[in-house]
Amino acid sequence: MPGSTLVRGSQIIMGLAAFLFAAGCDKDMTAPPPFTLTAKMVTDTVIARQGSIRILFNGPINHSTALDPSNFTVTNTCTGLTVAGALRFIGDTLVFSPAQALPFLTGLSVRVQGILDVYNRALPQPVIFRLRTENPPVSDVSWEPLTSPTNDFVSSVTFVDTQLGWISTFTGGVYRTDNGGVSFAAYFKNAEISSLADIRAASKDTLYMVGAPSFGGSTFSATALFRSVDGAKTFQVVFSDDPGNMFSLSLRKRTGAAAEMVMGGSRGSLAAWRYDQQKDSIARFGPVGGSVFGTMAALSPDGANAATVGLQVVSGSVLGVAYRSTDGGRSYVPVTLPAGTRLLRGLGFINNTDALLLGDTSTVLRLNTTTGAVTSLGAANGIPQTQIDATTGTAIFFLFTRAAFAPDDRNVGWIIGTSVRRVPGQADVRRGIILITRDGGQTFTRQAVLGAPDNGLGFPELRDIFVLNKSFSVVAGDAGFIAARKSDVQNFATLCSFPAGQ
Amino acid sequence: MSRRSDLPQSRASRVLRFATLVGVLTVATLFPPGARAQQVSGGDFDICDDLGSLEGNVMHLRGRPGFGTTSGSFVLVNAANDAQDCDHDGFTPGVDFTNLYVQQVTDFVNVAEPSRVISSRNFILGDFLNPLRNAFQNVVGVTVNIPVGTPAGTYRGSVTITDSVRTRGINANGELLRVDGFIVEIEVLPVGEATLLQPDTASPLDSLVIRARAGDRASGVFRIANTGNTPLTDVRVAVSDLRSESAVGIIIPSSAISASPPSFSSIAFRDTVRTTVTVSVTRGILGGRYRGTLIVQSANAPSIQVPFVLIVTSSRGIVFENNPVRNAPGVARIAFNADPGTDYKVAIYDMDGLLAYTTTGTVFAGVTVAGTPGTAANPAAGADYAVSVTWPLINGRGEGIASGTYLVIAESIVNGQRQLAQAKLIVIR
Repeated sequence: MPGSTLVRGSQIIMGLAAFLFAAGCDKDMTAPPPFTLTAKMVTDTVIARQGSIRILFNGPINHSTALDPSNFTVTNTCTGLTVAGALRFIGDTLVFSPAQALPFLTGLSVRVQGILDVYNRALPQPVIFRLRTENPPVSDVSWEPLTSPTNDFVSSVTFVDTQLGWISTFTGGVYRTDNGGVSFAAYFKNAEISSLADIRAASKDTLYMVGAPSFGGSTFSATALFRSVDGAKTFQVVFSDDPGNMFSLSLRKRTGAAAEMVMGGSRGSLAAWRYDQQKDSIARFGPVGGSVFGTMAALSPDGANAATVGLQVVSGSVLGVAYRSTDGGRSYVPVTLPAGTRLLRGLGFINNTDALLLGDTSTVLRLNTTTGAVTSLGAANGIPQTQIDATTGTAIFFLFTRAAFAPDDRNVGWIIGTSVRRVPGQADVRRGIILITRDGGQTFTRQAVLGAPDNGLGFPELRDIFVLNKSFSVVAGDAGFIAARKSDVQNFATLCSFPAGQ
Repeated sequence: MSRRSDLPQSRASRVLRFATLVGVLTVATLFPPGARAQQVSGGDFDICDDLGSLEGNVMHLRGRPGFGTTSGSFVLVNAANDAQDCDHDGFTPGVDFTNLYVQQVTDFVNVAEPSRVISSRNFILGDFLNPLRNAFQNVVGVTVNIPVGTPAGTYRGSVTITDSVRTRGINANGELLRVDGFIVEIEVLPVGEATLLQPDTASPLDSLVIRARAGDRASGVFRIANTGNTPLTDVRVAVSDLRSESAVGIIIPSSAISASPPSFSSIAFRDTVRTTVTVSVTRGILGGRYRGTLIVQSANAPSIQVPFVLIVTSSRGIVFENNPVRNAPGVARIAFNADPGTDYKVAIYDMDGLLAYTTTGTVFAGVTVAGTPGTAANPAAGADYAVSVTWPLINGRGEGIASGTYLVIAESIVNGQRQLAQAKLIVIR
């Protein structure tokens, strides 16, 4: 039968081939071919805070050796501790998932060792991969907290150079540092002065501040400008108004000239003051009357222009109000603001003509004090906007209070204020917020404070910012908070910037 | 905290602080006519005992050290008629108060331990008292700063308000007029916190490192500091297994490590305690670094973990993972000390002296952060000081070896010196 002949022939050929192969090689037929086991990481070198780490081998693996925790260790290089997690295979890929979210910018070292393939061939040497967790939402952590001498509300801060500075507290205390804020010493406290707002230094000896004097208990509704000529050891009243409230002090000390300053606040309704040290003269603006109340005034760097802001109560609603001055704060005219402008809490001059007006619900307006032109800044300019989670009802909104620009580079400046997180049925969580601009107030980016909770964003509400120059600025706020930025490098967060638990 | 306002305070409290109440409310709208009061001369103001945050004349605040308390408020009322006179001690139409002031704030004294106080300087009024117009009320916010380190507990103090011009008087019933006050009770919340310190300095302990030789017992000392504001309770010290940092898979079990004392029922506020951790280093273990975790836990504080590193300074010949080796694992693991970046050679002979298997290699010298491999001269992070060679129980031709006793010889460089180690390995198939 032809078919049976074919089968027999093929059997003979196969048997011969098998004989020749066996005769030509005395090795075990089951022995694997030459091979070197290697591993490579298929994850990006930057992973999410609880992202998985994936390792792929170049051949089939003995799973039990790969799943042995001794053979796959992940070490947090910031703490030196092993990272707890789970190992599993997805197909041929060995996957490690951290048991809990790691801090941002945590360095990780993955060591793979002692793994066998299915032929019991070992990984010849350990393999180490290095990766890190992702960047935080705000990675510019160029602010560092200073050691505060108080946990009171720090209402203001001022420096004359990078070493000598003062802070004032809302309850009337003044503290001095002569080492750049490394330490502060209590310097002045008078029970007859309270509600201290701003303190500003004109020189190492001469300081001004605004607050409420009681004049021996004879009044509790007065306001005054105080001056010290002995470096804040003592203060004397320059002038006072009763009733009145000065909430701000904007001082300019141009080279070769005496200090000039404007104060903002109210005398029954919105008012402003200008004081010239050279002439010892006071110019008063207002009160403007009606339900209009001042919150702050500021003087341009050249002392030629000024502006003051506040609020007005209209039919139960609180709206913003602003006035501008082209004679250095001696007289003001109203500014036409965009309809519905929210309560304005503060301002700061960018340059000799333009100022940023700041207020509730992310209000940031740019005012040309010479023309009265107003431009709104918003999300496109980097101003954080109100966020509302419709499902939980959680709202995060932003109030801005102060702006300050570097005298040596008017492109560099900051806005400070408060972020409020409101959850229905819970107390508000209020925190400070810092925005920096490097293009003269066109765009802003958020900054964080090194070591502050919540990845550098969990610092207290801010009350004041003082900018000595673009390389030295200080903020102050609630709970004794003081922080400084002592160089103009954009200090983006580095590995291990964020300790565990934050 | 709201700032001062020039509004009459009854309006300012509404407009500036919240701007939520619409229009001007007089106290008449808040107090329905009730018990009849009396008209007195010179006026009177009251702090209404159950308005604002007051509950029966007591304001309850709470907070953590280093922060302000929750905000409270009290309501000053200048009654113009008996319906508005919430304390029923007297009213006078047409009298305004413009010189109210806080006459006294006492220190806030710890109820359980009166030697502990929060200074009255930490009391903060969030709003001004003046002016208090007739028939109006002022809502005045209050908070208290709790200094860092304030022990947990309940603190109590009082606040007295009077007028510097319209001085105090008495009514026909002998009740004081134009002076009133309330009690502030602050609950300072417990914050449990522990910190590990060096044994003899206040420096933080970032890792505990102990050196020992194989077979010895060695100890390390550190201190546990109570840096919170409440006693730490049920404090326990533990150490995890120590794993060799080299790829040899050797473990010193946590059972070989003890802490003395291993636990504390309590560590007092601001106190520290010394703890000694002792490791019984396994006899015959390979030299090198063994790493684990020192864990300090407490019932009321977050646990602390720092690396625990044992450096075994002695070296030994050869350590087998299993001896005898059976079929089940299918491999024999042979570990011995060797300097990073140096070459090693392993030869395995049967009892007839025939070479059954040999292999060579270079000890892993680690990898720099930049990804450059370390060298013998400059080992990088993660370098091994021991080697684990896997013998898949085959001979040089790839054939499985027979049961029997084999002699394993490892040649390596240890501490710069050539080391030749040998040991017998039994294979049972």
